[in-house]
Order: sequence, then C-alpha cells, then structure tokens
Amino acid sequence: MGSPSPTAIYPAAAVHTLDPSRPTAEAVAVRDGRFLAVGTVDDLLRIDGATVDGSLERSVLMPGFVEAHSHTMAGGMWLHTYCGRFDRRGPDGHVWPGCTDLEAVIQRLREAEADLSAAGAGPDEPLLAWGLDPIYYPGERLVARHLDLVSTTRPIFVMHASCHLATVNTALMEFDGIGPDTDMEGLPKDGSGWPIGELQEPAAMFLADSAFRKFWERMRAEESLWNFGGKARNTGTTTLTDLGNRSSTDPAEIERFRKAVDHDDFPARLSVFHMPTPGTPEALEEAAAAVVATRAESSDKLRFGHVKLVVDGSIQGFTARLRWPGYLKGGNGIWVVPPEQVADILRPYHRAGLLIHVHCNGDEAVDVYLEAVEDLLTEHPRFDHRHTVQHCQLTSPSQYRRMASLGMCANVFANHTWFWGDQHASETVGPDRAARMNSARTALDLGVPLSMHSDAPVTPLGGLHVAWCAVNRLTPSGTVLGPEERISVAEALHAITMGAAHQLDMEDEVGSISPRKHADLAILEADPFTIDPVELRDIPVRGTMLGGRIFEAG
Amino acid sequence: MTAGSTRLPLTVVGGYLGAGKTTLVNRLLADPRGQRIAVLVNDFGEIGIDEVLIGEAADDPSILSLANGCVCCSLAEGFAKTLGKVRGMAHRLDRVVVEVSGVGEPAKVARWSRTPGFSPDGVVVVVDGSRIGEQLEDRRIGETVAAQVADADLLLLTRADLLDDEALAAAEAVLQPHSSAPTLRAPADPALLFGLEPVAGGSDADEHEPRDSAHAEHVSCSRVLREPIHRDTLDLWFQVRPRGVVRAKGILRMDGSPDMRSVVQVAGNHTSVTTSGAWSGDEPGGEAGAGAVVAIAMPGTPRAALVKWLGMLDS
Repeated sequence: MGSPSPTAIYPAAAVHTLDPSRPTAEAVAVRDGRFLAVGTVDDLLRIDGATVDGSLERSVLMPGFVEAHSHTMAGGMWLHTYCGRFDRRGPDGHVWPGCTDLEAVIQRLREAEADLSAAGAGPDEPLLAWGLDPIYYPGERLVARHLDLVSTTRPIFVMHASCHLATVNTALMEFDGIGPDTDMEGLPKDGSGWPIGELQEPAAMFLADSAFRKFWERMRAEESLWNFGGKARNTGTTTLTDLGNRSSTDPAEIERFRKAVDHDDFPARLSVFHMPTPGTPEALEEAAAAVVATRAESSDKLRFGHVKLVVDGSIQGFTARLRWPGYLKGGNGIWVVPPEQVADILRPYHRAGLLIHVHCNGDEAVDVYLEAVEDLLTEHPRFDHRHTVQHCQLTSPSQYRRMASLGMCANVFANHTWFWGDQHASETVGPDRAARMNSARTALDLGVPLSMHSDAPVTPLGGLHVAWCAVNRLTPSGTVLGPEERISVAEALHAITMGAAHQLDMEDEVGSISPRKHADLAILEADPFTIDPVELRDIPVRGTMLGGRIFEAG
Repeated sequence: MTAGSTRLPLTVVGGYLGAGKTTLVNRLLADPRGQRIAVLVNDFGEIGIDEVLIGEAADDPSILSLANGCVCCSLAEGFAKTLGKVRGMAHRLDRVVVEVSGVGEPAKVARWSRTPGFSPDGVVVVVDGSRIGEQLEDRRIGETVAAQVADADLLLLTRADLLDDEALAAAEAVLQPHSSAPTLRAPADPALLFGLEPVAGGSDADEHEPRDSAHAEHVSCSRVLREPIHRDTLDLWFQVRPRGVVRAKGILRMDGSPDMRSVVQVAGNHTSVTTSGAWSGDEPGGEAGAGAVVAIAMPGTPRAALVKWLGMLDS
C-alpha cells in the first residue's frame, strides 16, 4: 500500500454539517475531493499526512446549497440586458440595480446601447433585454415610443419576465416590416392604426423574427452554461438542475453539457431532467428506454436520467389550474397536458424505475398528479420512488397527507412570497389563500420531505434567499404573509441542502458535510444559525468549494 | 415585407385528446389531392425536429414534428424555428397543416398564420360526437373543450357513424351555445376542411361537379369574374354569406392592387384576404379578367342562395 493522498484540514469560524450525528465542528478534512472527517483541528491532525489550510478560517462552512428546480436559461438570460424590478447579481458578480420605474428601464437600455455601439456592433445588431415585469408598474406601459428614446436606428427587443410579452422599438418594427397593415391578434395599435410596439404571445413576437429567434438562440451558446455555473458559485450553490430538457437524450445536447460541466473549472454539479413529450405508448416506451440509457452518460458532476413533466401554468399568469373557487377575477387556468393523460405519459418512466418530478402550481393540478401516482403505484409498486410535486404552491393539508402516504416529496416555491406575495393577496387568489401558499410548515408537520427552490431564472438563484423567504414570509409591502406557515432557520437550511439532495436522489453524494460525500461547501461570511433570521438573505457568500477545490465568488 | 411572395395557407386542426385529429390528418396525407402538404404535429412522441424529415418534405407530403410540446403555451422557440424552416421551403409546398395538442388553444396557434410567409386558412376543431356532451360538463376539462369549440371556424363531428340521429342532433345541440361554426360530420372531404382550388379553365362555370360521394351531398358553385373588385364590396360579401357556407376560395383581382393575386378564403366563420404573388397568366380570369371563386355549403343549403352570393362579386 502506498501512502494516502494528501489531506487538507480547513478550520473555520463555524462548521454546520447538516448531519445530525455531528451537527457542528471546528474544521473539515478533505481528501481526494471528498469529505474525510469533521472534528477539532487536533483530532484531524492525527490523520496521516494531513496539513492545515487556513484559507477558510474566518468563514462559516455549510454543505453547498442544492437547487432542485432551476433552468440553464438562468445563465443564458445574462447574455441579454437585465431590466427587472429588483436588484439582481450577474454571473460576474456585478449587481444590476432593480429598475424601480420605466425611466430607469430606459436609462438601463441607453447604457446597454452605448456599450453595444462601443463594442463595434453593426447597426442592425438588435439590443436584447429581459426581466421587465409590468405588474410592478401599474398605470404605466412600456411602448415603442419609450424605446425610441434609446435608439431610433438599432432594433430593440425587450422580453418581459413572463416571456409571454415583448416590447420593441420603431426601428425594429421598420426592420421587420411591422406596420399598420400587419394583421395580427396580440399586436395592439394606437388610434391612428400604428402598432404601439407591444408583441403579445409568441406568434406576435415571431413578427420580430430576427430578434426573437436570436433571443433564444444566443442562450444555446456555451457561455450560457458557464454563466449558470457563475451564478451558482456566487450564491453558494454547488448542485444545480436543468428542469427539464426536451433534448436531453440527444447526443449533441449531452456533449454540450459535458463540455461545460465536466470541465475542471466549471463550479457546480448539474442534474439534467428529461422532459417527455406526449405520444403513443410505443413512442413513450422508446423514449423512456432512451432516458434510461442516458444514465450511463452521467459523471460525478453531470447527471442524466430523471424526468420532469409540466401539468399546468403559473398563478401570477392566471394559468395554473385551481380548485374551487378559482381566481379572484374568475375563471381557471390551462392544462399543458390533458389531465387524463398524465398517468399514461408517466407510466413507462415510472415502470423503468426513474424519478419523476411534476410541475403543479395549482391545487387542481396537484390532484391530477396524485391520482396518476396512485394509479401507477397500484399497477407497479415501487419503494422509495421520491416522485415530487414541483412548485406545490396551493397544496392543501389533505393533499400533503396524501403525498406523505404515497411516499412523495414537495419542492415548494418559497421565493414567491417575496416576489409576488402582495400580488397574490390583491390580484390572484386573495389574502386568505395567499397566506396559505407555499405552506412549508404544513408539509413538514405532515411528514412530507421538503425542498424549496428559486425556479431561476423566474426568480434569482440563491438558497439563502429561498430560506429567508420561508423563515420570514415577508412581502415587499412589509406584510408577513401567513405567519403560521413560517419554518425555522434549521428547517429551511435543511430543505435547501439535504431536502433537495433527497429529491434529486443524491443524498448519498451531496447535501451534508459527511464522510465520503463530495467536498462541496457554501463558504459564508456570517453564521446563518446565529444571525437575525431577517438578515439571512444578506449574508455575503465568499464562494464555494466543489470536490475539494475552492471557487471564489465573482 | 412578403407582399410580393407566395404565402402558404396554414390550417390549424384542434380538438381535445382522442377527438380524432390524427385520423383526420392521416386521411389528408393519404389523399392529398396532388397538394404538397407539410403537417406539423406536436403530439408526436419523442422525435425532435429532424433535418431528414424536413429534407424529405421537399418532395413528399411529410410530417414535421414539433420538439417543443404545446405550441400555445410553451416559449414557442421550437415552433418559431420549425415555421422558419417551413417558410424557407415554401416554394416546394402548397399548404401547411398544424395539429395542435389535445389541450392546445387552436386560435392562439392560428395567430402564427399571420406571420410573414403564411396566410390563415381556418381553424378546424374536431369533436368526438359520442363524448362532447360529458366533456363540456367535466369540471376539469369542460372549459378547455368549450374554448376549443369556440375557436372553431369549422367543426368536424367524429364517431358520427356510431350515433343515431337523435344522438347526433344532441351533439350538435350542445355545441350550439359555444359556436356558430358549420358542423360537418366525419368522414368529410378533405377539400372541405383544408381548402380547395378555384375552378380550372377559362369559361364561366356556374356548375361545379361534385368530385366524390362525401362531397356529393354538399352544395357547390363557382364563378369566373370579369371586373376587378373593390375592398368594400368584398367585406360586404363576407358579411352576407349564406348560412351553411363551409368553404369558399377565390383568387381575385382587387382594384387596389390589380397586378397581384388576392387570395380570398372563407372557412366557416373565418374570412381573410391575402396577396399571393403576381398573376401567372394561365389562371382563370388571370390574363384579362378578375379571377374566379368557388364555394361549398352544407347539404340542404339552397343552391340559389349560393349562386346569388357569388354573383354579388360580379355585379
């Protein structure tokens, strides 16, 4: 036997392992990219060949955060100009202040236009922007006239946060031949018959052909994945998800992921969920077999082979499927797949032993998914399947109880309380149901394994913000929305580490500082267990450790 | 920006899961009447947008699958890409049919037919005659089905052969509050659903011979026109169409743009005018006249009403 690999001992200001057997420690020992042990520095120095590395001694160490619901788009969006309402930190660490009014949006675009021109972009190169959410500017409406203040020659395309709406300038409309003669629903016109510059829904956006397609195509660039990794590193996140991907069985897509994620410098692990398309039973069988085959393409950093299906829309978009009494303004949302087809679509994946996560924002969508799982488990019982309800925003106590009985997990969209909590109370479901939304307390009390997520880029990536939301349930107007559904800091931090790892079927590899697991850490500048809980989201993140290597935040 | 080029007619086929959309589309592909048709399906399993399939579409009617699931509610990147490709091979195609997913909103998908390179050619919503009653009442899918029916320019009632007259009448009755579109019973002539060509030849052809049995019960009529038509006349003509008109199509000379072929489409509740390239010279009325128009109506429609209606364009 040769001598053991070198072992580095990292003393820290505090170590929270999220491993109940040894919840805290003085230092962490890392060997071969894995945690070897925790303990006092003296204890750890007894390890043969161990040396102390003091670089983290002033930091607080936690297991790296696990984001169980995000999209690689969260990186790609940063290839466009951010003009959202809230401050947001880019992958390079730059903080883009939130645009509190439309004047700020225009100013942001002016700066971006100047940058584009200074970088030598041709006159037809469109200025692409994202993140505008008109829900925050009641009484105002961004139209071409505003964007013409930015440029009368360069096409400008601003994608709204919902991705259902875009605003363009006059130069773009001229470039793409959009005018009074353009006959299209979703292209509002002014009194004189001219389009005002708003493109509603993708068909109308397609009129802005070049810019619209460029908006999405650019996000396929390699840089998009690297930006996603950068966002992870800046937020203490060491495991990401792409939930889900229709092309995940395509060798070219697998190679695209591999090239970035398996690179030594890529600072995160990534689990890519396959998104199935409805089809004939034979086509679905084949598809499931293809997904099973992709599991062999997995590596320590890159994971394939889980499944994600979308059943309904979003609550803030009034497209989630709600049980009685529906939305405040009346009506109900949309189905993305026919409800009676959910079990048929999932059957081959369930039978193949795959892990299934299903997007259900509304409680009626949850019912449909639970019925499907009940049918599938009756036909084909499985132990420890961990089928998960994603978003789970309006799930009732009886639904949670049923989920617990069925062995299912919940990944709750905790960030909603902050980003849309006020709007849920006033616009979507009213104050009573808003107070019951994202009920993490109920989920835990009824024994449902819990994680919580950002759904980046829908809300910004970052476990501490998600935890802060669930612990405080504060809204921008200062309301505590449903105080009874708050959970403790310890519970919230468990949800964004071990809870998420469990739902990704990775709890044996990540999620706690335990011997043998990957040496993945969130390196923090304050202790989330002792800080005032209302300051949780403000804790500076110094960076991460991934497989024993330190990545400093940008 | 494409005023001078050919626009591909785009028909949308919608309807709830199991209504018979795929059967209908397969029938069309089996009997395309010499048309080169690209069918875009988004209930097509796991096949991605495939270069080979698209390549074959150059010569054959082919199916292009959408890799992006539900067209109307996804980010539609994939659909934009596919339509862009279809547009690129427009000169090798005669029409496009988009089959919407079982929960898709047909009217939303039909909006895409107003993007450059395409012209709207109606929304056909397929309804299972044996289940529509319970579907419209269903607490989960009722609104979805009702919205689909309301989007229809033409309704096609399937499983009609399984129903007696009473049940058929009941099915048509439950549809009525949701739609004023003509209701055809399957199997219907694809020409009724997916458009038809104006009469060939240069003579006044007031009689239009039925082509097959499914067509035979319907009442049809065509006319070659002599004078260019004013837009106001056409708008009025659309408004006063007789009850029961299923389809009408004309290639007309409008007095506002006499050098361009103006394509006039009626598909049940849908009406549209688009320009589609310059006159080729060998079309009916192309050289000196003002084009031609053909119409088909539901069985039982008085033929005189149809003749009078087409005559309006030439008075």
